[in-house]
Amino acid sequence: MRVLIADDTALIRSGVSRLLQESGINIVGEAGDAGQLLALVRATRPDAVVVDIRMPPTHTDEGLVAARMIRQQHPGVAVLLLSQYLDASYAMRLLQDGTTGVGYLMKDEVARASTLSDALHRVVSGECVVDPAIVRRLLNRARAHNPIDALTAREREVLALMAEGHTNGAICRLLSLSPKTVESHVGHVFSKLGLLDEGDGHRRVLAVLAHLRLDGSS
Amino acid sequence: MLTAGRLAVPLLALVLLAVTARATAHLPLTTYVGDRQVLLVLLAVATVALFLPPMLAPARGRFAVLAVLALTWPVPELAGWSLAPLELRTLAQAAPPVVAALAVVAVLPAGPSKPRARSIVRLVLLGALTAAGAELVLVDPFLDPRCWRTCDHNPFLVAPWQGAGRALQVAGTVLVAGGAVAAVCLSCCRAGRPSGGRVAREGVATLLCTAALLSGTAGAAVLRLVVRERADSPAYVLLFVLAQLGATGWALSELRAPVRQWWLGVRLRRLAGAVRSSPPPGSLAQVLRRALRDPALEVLYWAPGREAYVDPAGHPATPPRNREGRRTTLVARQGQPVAALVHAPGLDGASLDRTLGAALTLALANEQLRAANLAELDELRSSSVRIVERAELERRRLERNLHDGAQQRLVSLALLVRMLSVQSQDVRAVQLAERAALLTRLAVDELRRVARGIYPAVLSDGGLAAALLDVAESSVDLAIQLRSVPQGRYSRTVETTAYLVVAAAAQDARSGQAGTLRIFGEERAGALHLELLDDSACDRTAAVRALDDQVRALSGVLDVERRSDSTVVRLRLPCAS
Repeated sequence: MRVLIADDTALIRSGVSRLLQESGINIVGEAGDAGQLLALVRATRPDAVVVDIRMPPTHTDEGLVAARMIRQQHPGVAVLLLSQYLDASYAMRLLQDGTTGVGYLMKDEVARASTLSDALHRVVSGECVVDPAIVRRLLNRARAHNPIDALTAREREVLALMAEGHTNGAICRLLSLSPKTVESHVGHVFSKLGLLDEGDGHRRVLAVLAHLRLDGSS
Repeated sequence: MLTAGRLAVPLLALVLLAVTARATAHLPLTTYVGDRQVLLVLLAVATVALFLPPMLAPARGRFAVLAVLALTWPVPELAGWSLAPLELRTLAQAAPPVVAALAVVAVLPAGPSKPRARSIVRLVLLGALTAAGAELVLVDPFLDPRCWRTCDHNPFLVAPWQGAGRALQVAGTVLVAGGAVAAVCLSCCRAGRPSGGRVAREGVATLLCTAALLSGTAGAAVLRLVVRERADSPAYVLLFVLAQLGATGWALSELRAPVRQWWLGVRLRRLAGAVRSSPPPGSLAQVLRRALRDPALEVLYWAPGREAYVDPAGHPATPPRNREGRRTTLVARQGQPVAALVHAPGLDGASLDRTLGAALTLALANEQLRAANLAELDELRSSSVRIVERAELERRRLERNLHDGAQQRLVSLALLVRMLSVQSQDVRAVQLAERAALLTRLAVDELRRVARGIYPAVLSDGGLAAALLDVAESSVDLAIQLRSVPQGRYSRTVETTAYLVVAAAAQDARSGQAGTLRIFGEERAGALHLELLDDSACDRTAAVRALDDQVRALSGVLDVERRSDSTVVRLRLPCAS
């Protein structure tokens, strides 16, 4: 797998690149800002890019803007956005153009063993990755009337995994359940939340996240 | 105020004038006015004009002189009235030197009180009495071959000493003429004093009228001693016309000051009315514009706190000295600058300052106080806005430093620890490294929470709506419901302040053990309105109230209402872009 890394801190670039190389991932280039990143993507045609959301000049959402441009101009290149923000609105902005081969990961997860390479493998294979911390935050928020309270513990696990972007197959593996059981859990979750079952497609992530963002008052 | 006496004087004059006109009309050869109608008109105009100053503006000490002058002015013409009693005609015959003397006394510029003026008065009165007395008691017109107006016997004749009478007449007339010359010189000296353009021009006009009046009266008296008087003699007619025109002009110039006084009074009363009704700022300038007929006139006020001139609304103004094509008159009160009037260059600054008077200066000082206060308020308001803006910038700077400085380093550190544990073969070292990685992640978490509390980045990226959504999503113990949120973008200070109010209300709601906080927001009438309603059991509003000053600094209103089992916070922030 050929990967580009974009971060304005050299130490983080080199650290991430060494960790990924140890996991057998080929780093084809490092960029310090969005412009450099776009040029490198054009030049090297990588399988995936790892982009920090805060980059020069304003250090706000340059990485997010660059990620969306890469998604539009090079649909074949998977994008993994590293962010300091737990706000779901940033993740939604990244996913709204399409959920195939994109990921939103908290930056402090990069040092965790295998998280980054797992996420990279998933986005390169076309999956959508949403950091579990963001899903956890949405699930745990206080609500006046909480439809999630009606879910069983297992159903909540399934809901969280769906929100993180996992496919049914992945959920089977992760929870060691049979495909049939997972499908019935998914069906229950959708009916209890009053959502249309979108199937196993990647649009499911957006529907689930959007639903979780509602405060349950309406 | 017009008194009965003052009314009586002109009435008497008009009667006299009518009699004169009537009496002399059919005797063309014995008077000027009988000879030419236009001369009658001139005489009438001059007589009426001479009555105006004592009637409209009785100057103290000069009223009697002016009234007598006006009364005696047409009297010489009565000498030609053949149907009149001989006594009256004889008196009228002796009148010209008296009229000339009265004219000299009347025109003396400093009044009869100054020593030099007093000696002139004595001189001309002595001369007039001598000449008139000689005419009355020593001269018999019947014996005079040069008689003109009347040639009858003198009923007052004491002794027919024709030669002595003539000599006394000459002496008296010369005294009167000398007094007239001295009076003209005195007037010249006064008009020669330096003063502004308009005043100087007026002074010259008055001087010319004075000279015409005196040369007409005293000159004719002198001429009478040398050349036989006739109605068709060009020299006499010229002197007669000069006397009438001079008298008219001089009387009108005497009226100039009282007319100005009266007009100023009218304007001041109008102004006083305007000031009494507490006019809006700048209306004094409007009044002055009308009064001075200068539509571009500007009034700037001295703001002591700013040490600069401001406009009536308290806004900074261009320093008055630097205006192109305008003139500036500075108005001061008790040595302190009050205002600067920026007016047309044609208007004389010195006379403007005089015309303003104490009342208007006081009105200007009043408006100055208000303008200065408004300027202070303006300054205070913009300085508080600047403080809020600075605080906002400081928050963003801190947040950025935390994210791009400390957090990046912590993540780098986590990566190093991770590499250490990968490379190490020692189980103990790996365990320690794992603990270090965990601690680093906790530190990053902590840092993120702190940075978000200082300034949420989503506020600048996504605006108030996105930031409020995030507040709601991050709340685990208080259900925050966003019923309606304005989706627009506002200035940074407005967005930050509104966000801080919501965050503070959430904090208060938590400490007041509320379960839900409902947020209603809308943009209405150029202002952002937020209503925050919680169901707190305890009264906890300290965090919101602490933001009151910040909201006020942005000219907004923050209202906290505590009900029995809930708290309502209402925020209104002007957001007109």
